[in-house]
Amino acid sequence: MNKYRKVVSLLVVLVMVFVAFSGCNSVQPSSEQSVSESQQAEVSQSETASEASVSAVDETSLEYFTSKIEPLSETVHLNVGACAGILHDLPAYIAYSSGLLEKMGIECEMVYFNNGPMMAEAMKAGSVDCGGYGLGGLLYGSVQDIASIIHIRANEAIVQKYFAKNDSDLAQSGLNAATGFYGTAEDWAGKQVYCPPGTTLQYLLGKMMGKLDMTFEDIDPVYMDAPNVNTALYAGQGEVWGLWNLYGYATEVQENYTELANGETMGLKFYCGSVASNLALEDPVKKEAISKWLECELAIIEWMNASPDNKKAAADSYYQWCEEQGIAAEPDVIANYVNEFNFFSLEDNYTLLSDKTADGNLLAEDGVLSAMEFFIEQGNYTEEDKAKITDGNFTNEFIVEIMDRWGVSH
Amino acid sequence: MKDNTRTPSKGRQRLKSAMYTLLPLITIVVFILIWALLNITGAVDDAKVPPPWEVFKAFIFKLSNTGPDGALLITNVLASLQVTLTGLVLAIGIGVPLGVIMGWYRLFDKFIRPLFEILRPIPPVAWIPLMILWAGVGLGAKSLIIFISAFVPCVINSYTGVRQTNPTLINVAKTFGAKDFYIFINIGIPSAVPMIFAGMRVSFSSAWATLVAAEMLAASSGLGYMINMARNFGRIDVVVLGMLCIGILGTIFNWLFGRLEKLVLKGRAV
Repeated sequence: MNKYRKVVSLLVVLVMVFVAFSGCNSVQPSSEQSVSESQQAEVSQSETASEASVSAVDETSLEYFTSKIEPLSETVHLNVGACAGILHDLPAYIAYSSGLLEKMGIECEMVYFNNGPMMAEAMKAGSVDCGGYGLGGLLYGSVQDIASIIHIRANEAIVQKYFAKNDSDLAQSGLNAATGFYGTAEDWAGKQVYCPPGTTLQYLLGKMMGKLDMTFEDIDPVYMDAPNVNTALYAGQGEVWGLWNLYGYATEVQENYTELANGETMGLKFYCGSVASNLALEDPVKKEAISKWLECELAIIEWMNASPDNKKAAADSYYQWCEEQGIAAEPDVIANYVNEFNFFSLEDNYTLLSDKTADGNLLAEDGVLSAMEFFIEQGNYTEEDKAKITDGNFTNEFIVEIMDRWGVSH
Repeated sequence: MKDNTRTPSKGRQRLKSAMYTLLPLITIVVFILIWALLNITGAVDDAKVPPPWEVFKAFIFKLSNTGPDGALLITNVLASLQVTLTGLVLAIGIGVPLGVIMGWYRLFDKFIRPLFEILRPIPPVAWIPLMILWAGVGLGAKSLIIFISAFVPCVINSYTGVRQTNPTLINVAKTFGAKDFYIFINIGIPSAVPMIFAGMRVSFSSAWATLVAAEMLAASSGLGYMINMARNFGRIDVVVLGMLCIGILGTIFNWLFGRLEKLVLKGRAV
C-alpha cells in the first residue's frame, strides 16, 4: 500500500512539474489568429498572378498596394505589441491577420497590453520588439529611452471622449458654443469624473477645465484604469466617464450616453505612433524586419485610404478583431469610427519627422510637448524629462528608407 | 571562596542578547550593501533596479512633494492604512466569529464549508470588476477587496483554535453539568485565543499585501496608487519606495500585533 502511495505521489508531482513547465513561456500569450478570408485571398493572389493579370490589377486592391513590398531574405520572428481593439493599431493588425507579414518573412506574435507604458516596460525587458501606442506611451518610452518613434500613425484626439448619461444635467445643458463641449462651469462643478490617470483622457479633462477657468479641484476626479472606468459606467457609478474609442462602441453607450467632448473639438494633438524597441534595433536582422513591418503597415494605410470600399473592408476587419477580443461593438458604430479616423500618409510622416518648428523641434516632437507641459504641471514629469523628448527619440530613418524603396520623392 | 561562575555567564548572556538584537539589523545592512554593490559594479541595470541611494532620494522627495502621483508620502500611507484597517476590522469581526462557530458546531461547519472552500482560492484581484458593480469605487469597495483577502486566515485560524480545545477541559465541564453553549463560551473560545491572534497577524499581512490590487480599483492616494502611478511615468525609484514602505509598515504592524498578543495572553499556561 505504501509503495502504491509513493508511486501515485510521484506521478502527481511529475504531472504538476510538467504542467508548470509547459505553462511557462517567456512571451506573453498570443492572440488568436484572425484572418479575413477576402484579405488573405487577395494577398495570396499575388503569389500566382501572371504578368498579364498584374497589369489588370485593381488599383484600389490590397494586392496592388502590397505588390511593391519585397519580402525579407529569411524569416525573422518579431514580438509585436498592441492594445487590443485600439483603432490606431488597425493597419498593423490587418497586416498581421491578412497574412501579409508572414508573406514578407515576418513571423509575427501579437502581444497585447492595456496601455502604452506597460508595452514600453515589456520593450525594456526585451519581450517586445516593436508596436504602437498613444501619447502616454510615447512620453514614457521617450523619457525612459526605451523605444524610437519611427512613424506617427495619427492624431487620435477624435477618439478620446467624455460621456454622461442622456438624462444628466450635463447632457441636457447642450453644447457650449464658447468652449466647444457640453456644459458650463456651474454644470461641471463638483461632478464625479472617472478617468485613467496619466493618459490622454486626463490631459483632455485638464484642457476642458482650463477652458471653463476651473481646475481638478473644482470637480471630483476619480482615477482608475480604463477597463475599470468602463465597468463603472455600466455599474452606474459616477457621473462622467472618460473612454477610449473601443469602450464607446457598445450599443449601450451609443444609445444611453451623450458624448460631451472629444479631443478633436478641443483642438488637441494626441499623436500615436509606431515604435521600435532600442534593444531590438541593436540587432541588424531585427532592425530590417521592423522596417519591413512598418512598410507593410504603411501599405495597409495606403490601401485603406484608397477608397470608401477599402475603409469599409478595414472596418469589417476591425469589427472581427473586436469580436475576438470580447469588445462589445456594433458594426455601424465601428464603421463610423474608422471613417472619422485619419491615418497619416507616408508624406505626412516625412513632414512630421523631418520639418522643424521655429523652436528647432520636429513637428512630431512639438505635437507631444504640449501634453508633456500638462503632465509637468500635474507633477507627473519634470523639466528634465521634457528635455528627453527632443533628444533624438523621433527618427525619420525608416520613413526615408521606405520612401526610397517605393520611389517616393522627399 | 571566589565565585567564578557568575560574571562569565552574565557576560555571555549579554553578548548573546546583543547579538540577537543586532543580527536583524546586520542582515538589513548586508542586504543594502549587496544591493548597492550590484548597482555600482553594473551587475544590474540602474534603470531596472534603482540603487538604494536613488530610493532614499525618492523618499526624501516624497516627504514634501506630491509628484508623480499627486499626494505626499504620508498622505499615501494614511490612505492605505485607512483602507487596510477598515477591511481588516471587517474581516476580524466577521471571520473570527464565523470560524469559531464553524469549529464548534459541526452541522454549521458542514453547511458553510463547501461555499467557503469554493470562494477561498479566488484571488482578490478577480473581485475588482464585481466590487465596482456592487459597491462602487469608494472606501467601501476597496475595503471589501482587503476584507476578502484578510477574511480567510481569520476563519481558518479561529476554526483550528476551537477544534484544538483540550478535550479534558470539555469533559470536566460536562462532568460539572455545564451546557454546550456555556462550554463553547467559557472554554472553547478562550482556548482558541492564541490561534485567533495568530490568524489576525496573518490576516494583516494578507490584507497589507493586497493593498496594491485594492487601490487599482480607484484611488487618488495610497501606497498602491503611488506604485501604479509611478509605474505609468517610469519612476521605478518611487515604485521601489512604495514597496519598501509596504514591507516596513507591515513589519511594524506585525510587531505591534505581537506585543498586543503577549499582553492579552499574559499569564496563560503554554
